[in-house]
Amino acid sequence: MKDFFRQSMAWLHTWSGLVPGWILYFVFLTGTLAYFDTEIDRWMKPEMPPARFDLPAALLVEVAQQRLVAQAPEAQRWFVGLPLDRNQPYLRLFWETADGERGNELLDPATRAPYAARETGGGQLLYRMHWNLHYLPRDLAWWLVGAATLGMFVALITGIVIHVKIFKDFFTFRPAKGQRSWLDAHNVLSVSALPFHLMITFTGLLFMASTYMPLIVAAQYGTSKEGQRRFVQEMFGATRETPAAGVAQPGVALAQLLASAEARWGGGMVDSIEVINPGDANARVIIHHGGDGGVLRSGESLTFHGASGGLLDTRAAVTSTPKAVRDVLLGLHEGLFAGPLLRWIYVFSGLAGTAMIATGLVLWVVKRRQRAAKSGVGGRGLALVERINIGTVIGLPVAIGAYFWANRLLPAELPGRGDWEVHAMFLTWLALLAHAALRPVAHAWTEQFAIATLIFALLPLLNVLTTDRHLLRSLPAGDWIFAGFDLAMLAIAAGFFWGLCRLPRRIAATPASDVPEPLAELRS
Amino acid sequence: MAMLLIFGLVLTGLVALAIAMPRHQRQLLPARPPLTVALALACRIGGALLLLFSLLVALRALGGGIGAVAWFGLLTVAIALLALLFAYAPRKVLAITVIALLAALAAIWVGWAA
Repeated sequence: MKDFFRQSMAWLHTWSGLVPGWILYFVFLTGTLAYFDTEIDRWMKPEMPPARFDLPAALLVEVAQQRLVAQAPEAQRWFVGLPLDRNQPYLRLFWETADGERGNELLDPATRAPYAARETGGGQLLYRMHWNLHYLPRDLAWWLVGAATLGMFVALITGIVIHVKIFKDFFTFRPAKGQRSWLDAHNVLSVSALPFHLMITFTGLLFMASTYMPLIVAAQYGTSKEGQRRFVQEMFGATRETPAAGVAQPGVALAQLLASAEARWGGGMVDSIEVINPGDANARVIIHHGGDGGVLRSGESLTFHGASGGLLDTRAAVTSTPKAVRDVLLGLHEGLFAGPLLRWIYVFSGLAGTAMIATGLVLWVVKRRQRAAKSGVGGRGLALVERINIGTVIGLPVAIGAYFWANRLLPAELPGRGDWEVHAMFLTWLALLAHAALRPVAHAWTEQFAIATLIFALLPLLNVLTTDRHLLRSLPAGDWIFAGFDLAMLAIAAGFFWGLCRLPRRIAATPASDVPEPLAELRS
Repeated sequence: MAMLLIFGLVLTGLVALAIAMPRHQRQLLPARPPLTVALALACRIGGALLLLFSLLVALRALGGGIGAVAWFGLLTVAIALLALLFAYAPRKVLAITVIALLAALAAIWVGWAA
């Protein structure tokens, strides 16, 4: 009875892991990079000056208001994001008109105009691809990612169940022993970061809970648009829905309201300001506190009357316990609260998860090939998985490298260059999948490891040739975003070089392992 | 600083747990005969207490939310580090643990003096 249970858990683990495996690899890799989204943004826009967090908020708000009045006087909503830390490195303006037209700018407080920088999706695009994928309608992407995430969750739990010797093998990694080593690697990567994997997967699902389980909100609020609006208002406050009076009335200076907020909270705590119905008699200004730096994302907010400047409402950071629980969980996923060291630990854990998926995919092939060698039945499934593995496990990182190369190589005036950078990424991925399909397996691994080594090792050199913010300048200047990125590329290249030297033999040609196949009696 | 302290405690606690495992005891203390049941249990309890203590330090020094996240994160790094060390350089484990513990104690001293 117990054997049958463990057998079915093993079967479930294999298939819930394998089927969504490549999507999960994509999600984990882009998600891990997303912890450095604004750093990648800045590397991909070398024209932008280094971010400064010491400018007085009053000056920034005044510059922002002046620009918004000039650019979007008829807007229904303005948003001003203040640079407090790496999460928002530059003064950001956003507006939306009643017709749904939107505008987005990063404003240089010195020139009072937007920065002139190349058009690029930057790191933010990689971050958004993490749940929106690309080229797909958003809803379809959300369902695909959700299904894959559910598969991941099932794989994690069944993995724990079938990992018989979880404590005995806690620190066990035996290299160069064929299938045993791949399993050890898969286990150590999973177990060492298990709290992270469970948290990130569960909270990932939670982000989209209202998409995957819409009936829960519907049960309370009905399925009508009115009902949905009521839900949003109760969750986030009704101020954003305030109707315009249609009567023009000059708004009070935002800097003045900022001063009220700073008197209450102290300096440097205002994270963003929203203006609803700017220039109208019924204008509202919401000033947001940046939070206390803890895991809970939300902070207090103050709502002012936009025309008179009177304080209308104070909304506490925690308005409902369930919402606070949700906000904490989502905050754990995003890790925006994390300082530099903790952020690197998040990245380390994300890479462990990515490698866990990769080793799982490789392990499936290695086991199947061994079984096929004995029984003589190869199977097209094995060949398919093997080829996609190569083209994805190595191909996707190379494609991201190509994205960075395209950023430096595409001319600044090219219309739609941001889109072309992404096309370069996916075309490269496609090319590597094709390469993996056409070359003999062992050669495919070796060649792709070599391509990966080169594409990352040469990127800092490309940086020298195309910008002046390269390693020879950034290191002495202490420009850590640029130096750090280039050094990280070299480290990644070194990693792929190690892979080139050590791994192709071990993946492609599996010697008959003298260690008994683990769980041999459990067929998957 | 607090991170250094927590890491030193976590690493020491994990090594204590590892010593109680025959496979790793043979790697760390090759000259010794296998530990008696009592001594192995003592190592396990000691290791567990060190890990618990490191969690309390994390919660105290960094606050509830960040402290818990940091503790799990440092645990991950320590486990991964030990897995690599046991695989490629088992004889360095004890030396590295001692260094980490000394760094942790130095972190306490710096924190006190500051």
